[in-house]
Amino acid sequence: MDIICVISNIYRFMAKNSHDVIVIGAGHNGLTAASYMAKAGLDVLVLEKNEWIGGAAVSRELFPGWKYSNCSYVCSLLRPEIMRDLELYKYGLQVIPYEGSATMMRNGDYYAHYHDHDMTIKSIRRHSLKDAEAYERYSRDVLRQCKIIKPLLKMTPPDLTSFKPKDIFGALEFAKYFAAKDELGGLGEKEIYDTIRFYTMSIRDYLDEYFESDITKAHLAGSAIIGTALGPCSPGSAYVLLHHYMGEVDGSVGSWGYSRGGMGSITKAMTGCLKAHGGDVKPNNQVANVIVKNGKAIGVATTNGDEYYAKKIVSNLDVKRTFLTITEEKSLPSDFVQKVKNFKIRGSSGKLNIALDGLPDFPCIPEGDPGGGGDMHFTESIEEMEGAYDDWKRGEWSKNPYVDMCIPSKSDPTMASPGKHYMSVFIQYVPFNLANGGWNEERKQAFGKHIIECISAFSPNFKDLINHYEVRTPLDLHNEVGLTEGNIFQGELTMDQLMFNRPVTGYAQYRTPLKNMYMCSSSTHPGGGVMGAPGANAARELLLDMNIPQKGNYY
Amino acid sequence: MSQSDYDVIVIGGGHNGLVCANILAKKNKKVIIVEARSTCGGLLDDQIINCVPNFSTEVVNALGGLSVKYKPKSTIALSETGQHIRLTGNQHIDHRSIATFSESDADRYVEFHNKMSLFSKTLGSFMMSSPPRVMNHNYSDYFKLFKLGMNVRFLGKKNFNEFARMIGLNIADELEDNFENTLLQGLIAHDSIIGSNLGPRSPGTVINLMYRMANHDNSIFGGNYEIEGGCNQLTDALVSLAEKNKIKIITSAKVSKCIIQDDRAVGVELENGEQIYGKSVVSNADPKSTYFNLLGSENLDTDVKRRVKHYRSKGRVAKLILDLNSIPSFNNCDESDLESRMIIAPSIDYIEENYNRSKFDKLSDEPIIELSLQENSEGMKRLNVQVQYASYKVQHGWDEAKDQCINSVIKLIKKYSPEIEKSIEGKKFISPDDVELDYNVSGGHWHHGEIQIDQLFMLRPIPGASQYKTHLDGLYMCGAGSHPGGGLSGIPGKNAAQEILKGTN
Amino acid sequence: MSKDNRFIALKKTPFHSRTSLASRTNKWYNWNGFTVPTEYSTTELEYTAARNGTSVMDLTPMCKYEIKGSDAHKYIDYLVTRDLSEMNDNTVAYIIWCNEDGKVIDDGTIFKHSSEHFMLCCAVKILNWLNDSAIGFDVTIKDVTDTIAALSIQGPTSCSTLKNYGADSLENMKPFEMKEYNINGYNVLISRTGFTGDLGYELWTDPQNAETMWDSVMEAGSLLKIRPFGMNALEMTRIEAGFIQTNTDFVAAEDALRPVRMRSPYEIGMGWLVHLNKKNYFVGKNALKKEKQSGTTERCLVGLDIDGDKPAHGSVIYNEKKEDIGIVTAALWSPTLKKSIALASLKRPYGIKIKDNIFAEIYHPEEIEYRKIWAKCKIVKRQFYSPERRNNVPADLYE
Repeated sequence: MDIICVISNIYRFMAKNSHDVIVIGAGHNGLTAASYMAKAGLDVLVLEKNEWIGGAAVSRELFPGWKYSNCSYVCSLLRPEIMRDLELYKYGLQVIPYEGSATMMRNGDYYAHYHDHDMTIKSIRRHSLKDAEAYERYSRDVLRQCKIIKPLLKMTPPDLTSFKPKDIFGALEFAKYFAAKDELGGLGEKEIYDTIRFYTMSIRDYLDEYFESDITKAHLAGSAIIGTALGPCSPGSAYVLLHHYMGEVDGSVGSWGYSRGGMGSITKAMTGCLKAHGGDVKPNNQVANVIVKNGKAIGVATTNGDEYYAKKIVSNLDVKRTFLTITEEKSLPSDFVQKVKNFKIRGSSGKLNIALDGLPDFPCIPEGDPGGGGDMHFTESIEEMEGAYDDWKRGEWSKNPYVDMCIPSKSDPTMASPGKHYMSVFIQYVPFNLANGGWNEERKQAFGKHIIECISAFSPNFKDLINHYEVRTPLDLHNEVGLTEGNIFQGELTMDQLMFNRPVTGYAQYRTPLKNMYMCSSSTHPGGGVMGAPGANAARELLLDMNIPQKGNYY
Repeated sequence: MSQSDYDVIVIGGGHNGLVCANILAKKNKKVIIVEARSTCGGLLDDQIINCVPNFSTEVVNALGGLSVKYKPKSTIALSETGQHIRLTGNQHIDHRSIATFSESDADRYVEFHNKMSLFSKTLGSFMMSSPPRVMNHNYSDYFKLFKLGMNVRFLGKKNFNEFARMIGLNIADELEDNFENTLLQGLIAHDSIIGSNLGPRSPGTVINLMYRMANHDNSIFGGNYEIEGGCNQLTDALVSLAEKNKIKIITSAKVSKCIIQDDRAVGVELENGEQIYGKSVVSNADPKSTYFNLLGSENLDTDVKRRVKHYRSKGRVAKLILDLNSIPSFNNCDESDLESRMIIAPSIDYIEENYNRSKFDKLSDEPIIELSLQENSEGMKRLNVQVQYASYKVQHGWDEAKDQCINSVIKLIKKYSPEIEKSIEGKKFISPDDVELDYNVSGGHWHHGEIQIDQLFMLRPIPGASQYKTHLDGLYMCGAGSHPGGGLSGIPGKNAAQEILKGTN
Repeated sequence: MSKDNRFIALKKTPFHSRTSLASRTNKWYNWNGFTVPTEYSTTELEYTAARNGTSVMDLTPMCKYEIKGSDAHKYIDYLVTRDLSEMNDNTVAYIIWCNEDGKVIDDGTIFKHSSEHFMLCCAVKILNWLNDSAIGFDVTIKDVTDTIAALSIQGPTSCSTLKNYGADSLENMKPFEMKEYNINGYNVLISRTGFTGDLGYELWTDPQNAETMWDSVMEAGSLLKIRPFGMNALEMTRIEAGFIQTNTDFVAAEDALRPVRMRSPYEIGMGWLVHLNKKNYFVGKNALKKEKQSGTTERCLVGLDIDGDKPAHGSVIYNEKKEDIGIVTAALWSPTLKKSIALASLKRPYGIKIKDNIFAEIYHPEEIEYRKIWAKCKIVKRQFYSPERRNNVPADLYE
């Protein structure tokens, strides 16, 4: 009798904690994957270690009256097809475009781009007539690259080592898309060479082919170094620029915008979609390990002792965290583990989130100029930018950092009360392993003060307006958000770690060596940034494996 | 001079030009070499380089043999503490040598060497012929691409994946993942960045190393060669071969431009006005000189001019030649060590710091150098010092920077050879700017242009001119600015000759 | 620079005070970063001025480049497809230039002051193209778009108007000639050129003289039916004249996002400007030679005379089997010809070998709904209207 009781209890227990899919990590990719799977009729549970959900796409009220997008801060790469399929507008998502962008100069002048094309040309002309003209050709060339790569984002990279018909066919499809037959009417020999060059050059060399003035090049090169362990002189940095340009806000490829209510609105909306289709998210549930039986992943165990079972497990953690912390090494092939250990995920970014009592004056930028309504910087040349990178290589934070600052509350009324402002400051470069002993509270504060001093040089009343600020180093991102080594893309965007090489060559198709276990995080193709594409692609592969038809604009 | 006095006119008697001319002459072509300087050889000159990688076997075979004696030259990475690392190129010996300070490094070294050898052999299959063009609607090109892809694929799944990973990788990551000894890391990193505009942490440095190995039958790693009697012996061998093959050579004859008739190159005009006619013309000059001067800017499409202008070819190596009155002594080095290629590049970080300075054409106070000891023509000892990251058009100009550079080099050598200053009788400094002037190479670049992925293979020197043909019918290129690039392999010269033979038959 | 300048995307031309005053409609157009009037009164009245009296148009936004240097003549001849080796001083030539694939970058006019001084006028910004082309030539290139003010004076009475203004003996100037005048104390360059296919001249001067020049010209034509002329009217006259417009009838090669949209001269009816036998090399010569020899030209630009009276804006062109063979790039109901005319880009052999059974599908707006009209087209010469007075020397005078 007892045995039957025990068995039926176990059965009941398992049935209660049994789902079709468990997703580990409620970051935006995990939520995207979960939503697509829930929409397809699966029973999906997402487990999140933190009290709040969203991963690095969050809005946190860390100081009463001010909302911080305290990790990612701007929305552009989120695929419109995903926004449409998951009906994110229904669950509160609204994107507000940037009005412009500006680089402030120490001599009191500034360099700006605007939403309006003619204004941008007129603005560049002030610095260089040749550059204003070259900018049009440059934009055209980068746009061409964006159009070539766009369809590749939603593809699963083909496995070039496989001779299976499915993979050979996949490789041919890949090549066909790469030839941009649809978007551009086909590429000729010249365009293919241009693409190869674009993917392998440094942004410095690429920009040198168009522009003459330092400020133009510095303003444009910023997008090539955000979140990377590369400098503007490193080969491969031009590709990173493309990665940042690929986004669109309402069809105008390359523009950026704020999500209303902060980046948390995105993940909140995704959660809304997930729940509306029967899925669930459990915060405060950190996965301790994946339960493996007979070489298959059958469930997960959390740190508070609970066990959940599912037919499929999907990890939204980065590849290192997935395979080196929550999965037992012995259940994985040794060369796979070695490759994961060698996967480069060095963090290079820091953040300051600031609650301001009013709008700071930036005298370089004329009052009312839309250039101040978007991202602001103060790096004036590529040489300065590269110097910032050199500091990072030595294990120091940049003495003369590259910053990407913005004040979302200028356009978004929900971040702070009228007249008060939230400012986000993203900083390159900040090392994870700070030389001479690593990060501690004292050094963290010193870093924060350093950044504030740098900004104050351009804004006399800035310091006086500060009510509160939060300093985030790569170590904080590592610990709190779960981004290993604080790398915001969950893996560097270099050729050896992209497409079929991402995260590990041979395992670039969202499946892992462990049966029934998948990956959907930014460590997979096409990489990081708040895109949602890894999540959507992973969901597609999982649904394919389960022979469930996929629907929606994304596919 | 009558029309088509010659079958082929070779502009420039550098080693590639000599190789090209010899191969053509062997096929019974009437060839003339026109050299601007008073002697042939170009950058294959003891003033420029001393440790010479060997010509590839295929090239030597195509020439019908070459009577040059190579002396194997070991490499020694000097350490301030005297714990130097010695590599001979023989895996067995090197393993033992590395094992004295790290067993794991020794094992890893053998693995690494084998891996690089395998990949460079595979890459080697790409070197020996003209690069295929993409989308040129040419079936032989498509077939070539397919074959190359298959060569890589047949390495096996694991190796293929590793190869794909290594193409974009930087050498620093690869070394830090595999080795613990910083001096060993420094040594291999040094060989990966030599002559280039990249640092150890720059993506593309692994392929740089693989590439150099591929051009020299894998013999470069750890072990190098020296030509007995100096570089000029190789030039002399090629010149005497040329004489045997009945090639006419004229020196001190600078070509000012190509003679063009009916949109075709039909000859050359010298600076003194003399005209020489030939059915084909081959330029051993660097691509910028070939296009802008020989072909002529006024005969080029604007888009082509743009591409040639953007072809990166700023030289990065300077040479300091020290004539010594006695054999120098280096800490903890014996006689055989002094016969090695001595490298001072203590670690990856040291190299990277140096590179940081050079990115914007500045000099570092702590240079990276490669030393080799020779005997000069008077029987005295000569210390050849190759200084990396010494930029063409250095900030403030070489006239100002020269002394600073020389002093920092000597200061550095003193750390390893405290008495060196006393032995110095004479100093000669050759900057990339000097190389440009004396050897007619734009930018003074060793390889006539950067060896980086976007300037290699079908993109070298510019798209559309990667098969040894320029945009002008009848004008070819055979120098290091063409596939597979520089490094004294002789392969560009051989490949160009093959293209010309194809074209004229 | 005043604060205001920062927020206004578009610039004002040196004539702005006059054009804004003359405009009764306040309708403006963005031309190359400047604002110029679309129409001052009504387009029909302005068009009529060009065919009946004198029309005055602000031409300043046109891209202008000054080319100076000892190699200037050699350089120009290398830049363009046309043989300009024999070009005389004080003349103007209509030219096109191509890239290395023989695709047209732009068309324009080149003004020769002397062998060492030229001015190039065109629609598309090409400072970087000019500078890159100049590698190896002893020339300096300057963008003078902002430092030269220009007016276009076109119409049957235009010669008389300008004579009254002070241009002595202007009637003897041949088409495509130019002369430097000194009128009312300042220098004005007058060329017998224009974009309306009629008798007309263009005036070029320093911006500081702009307002007074406008005033004087308007005064001089006050009895000769003079009228300011907007962009809408220009469009009408240029279509009648059969002149092509960059980025309307073809995409400039340096601007084209889609490589397949680029066009060679043979595809836009500019083959007559390509002199392959030119002694020296010109940019694109190799590619154009190959194209001519291999006969691989894919498209052509033709004039269409369309049945009916509805203009064929944006119409797709079909053959009798209702297969898509091309598209209309510019269309007009011509008040002078009383015809529906159009310029169309067709796929060869249509338009060249096959000229019959060509149809346009016209979507005619009829109060929210569209009526589909299947109109028969006749392939004709692009030059729909070319009155004799256009080329007469001496030019017609009204005294």
